[in-house]
Amino acid sequence: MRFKKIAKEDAGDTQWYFQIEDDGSSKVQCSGDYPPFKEWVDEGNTAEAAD
Amino acid sequence: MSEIKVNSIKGAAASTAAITVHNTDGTATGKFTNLPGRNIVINGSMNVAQRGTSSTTSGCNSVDRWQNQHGNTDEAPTQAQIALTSSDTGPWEKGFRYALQTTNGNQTGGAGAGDYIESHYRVEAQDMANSGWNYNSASSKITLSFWVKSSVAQTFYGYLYTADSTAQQYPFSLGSLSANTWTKVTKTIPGHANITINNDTGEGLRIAIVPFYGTTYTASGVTLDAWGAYGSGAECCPDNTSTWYTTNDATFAITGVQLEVGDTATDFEHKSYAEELFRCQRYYYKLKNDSGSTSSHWYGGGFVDTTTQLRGGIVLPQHMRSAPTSFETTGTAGDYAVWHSGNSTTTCSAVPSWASTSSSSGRLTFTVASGLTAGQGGSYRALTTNSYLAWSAEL
Repeated sequence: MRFKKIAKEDAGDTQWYFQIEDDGSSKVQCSGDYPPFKEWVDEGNTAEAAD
Repeated sequence: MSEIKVNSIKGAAASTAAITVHNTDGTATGKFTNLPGRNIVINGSMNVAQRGTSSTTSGCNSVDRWQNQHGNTDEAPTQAQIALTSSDTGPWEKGFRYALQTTNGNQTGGAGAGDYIESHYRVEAQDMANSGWNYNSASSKITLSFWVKSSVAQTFYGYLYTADSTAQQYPFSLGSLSANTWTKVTKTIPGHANITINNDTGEGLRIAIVPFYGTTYTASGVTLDAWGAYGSGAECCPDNTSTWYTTNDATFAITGVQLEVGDTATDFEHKSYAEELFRCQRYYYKLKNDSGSTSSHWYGGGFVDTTTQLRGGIVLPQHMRSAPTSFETTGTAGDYAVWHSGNSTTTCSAVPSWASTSSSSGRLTFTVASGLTAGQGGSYRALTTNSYLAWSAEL
């Protein structure tokens, strides 16, 4: 599992991320407060840049 | 007119009064087993499963509000909402029709120290803080009760956990369960001076029920039925027997979970599906195409902002616990479409996105490759029977 930034539609939007599974599928978008994202970051990972 | 003057009313064989009549102020206190609003646990009867009825993914992925966590397993266990039948002696007669069941995977590597499978429920902190439980007093009690069944005869454990300030735990035994036999477990738990529960929307109290913990999370000397500091090694319960865990497809089911203030386990507080669903929607809300038709489901309306985007506000059905921290789609753009001028339906080229969210609303965007006219109106539309949108503010 990894996370990738979602391009902001408006400058004032908070940053959201795609959660991308190992098979490349992505059903979840999340904020930085999403518990699995926080755990992933705590493990030393960094989200990929947006397209 | 006649008048009866008494101090209390007590059952013939009861040790305590059912009704205590106060001496001077004209009031009485009763211990009634069917008053509404007793159960702090939401969806304790396992009736609501918005996400689906079965999953092998760790987390809250079947029965609402219940997290089935597992780690280091050789084969992932399955969490499922299962339907009970009249053969489920015990809970069936008490009116329960569903349970949360964990079906073990095939743990070919045996019971590793870091292996674990647990079901737990997280009570929102303000619901505990405002429950009436004086959690810092040993004379103030809460009572946890639930039905449990295992396909393997074994002693299992559980524990309560409080996260605020210095984390505390209260380990307990579920007793020695007979195989394939529903057993009612009741635990009355005192308060303790070291417990802190903030009056906020965070996690206040966790109820954990453990099919298996490896020795990383257990210790032989853990004291049952007593509060203590949550160990740095997270030894939450005594060492577990591993028979259940090393039995392929062993099952472990719970239902009828009730947590209430007081020293007595009262009858389970059954609620309507609608009421329970609404309580669950504070933490997870799912809009799904259950029309039976591929396109007879509408998520709402918006305005065409560009030739490729329909945007608009969506109001959630209630204030969620927090602004949603995740937004879920099927992951397939073709499950969604924009309905716009000329009775035209254009399939999305990207999955819907969610932004600018609060606890009760946010902005939804549907994106297509081309063909929209800026400034016009449009509607968010499902295009398959799989289509859904969901928001989570789960603890």
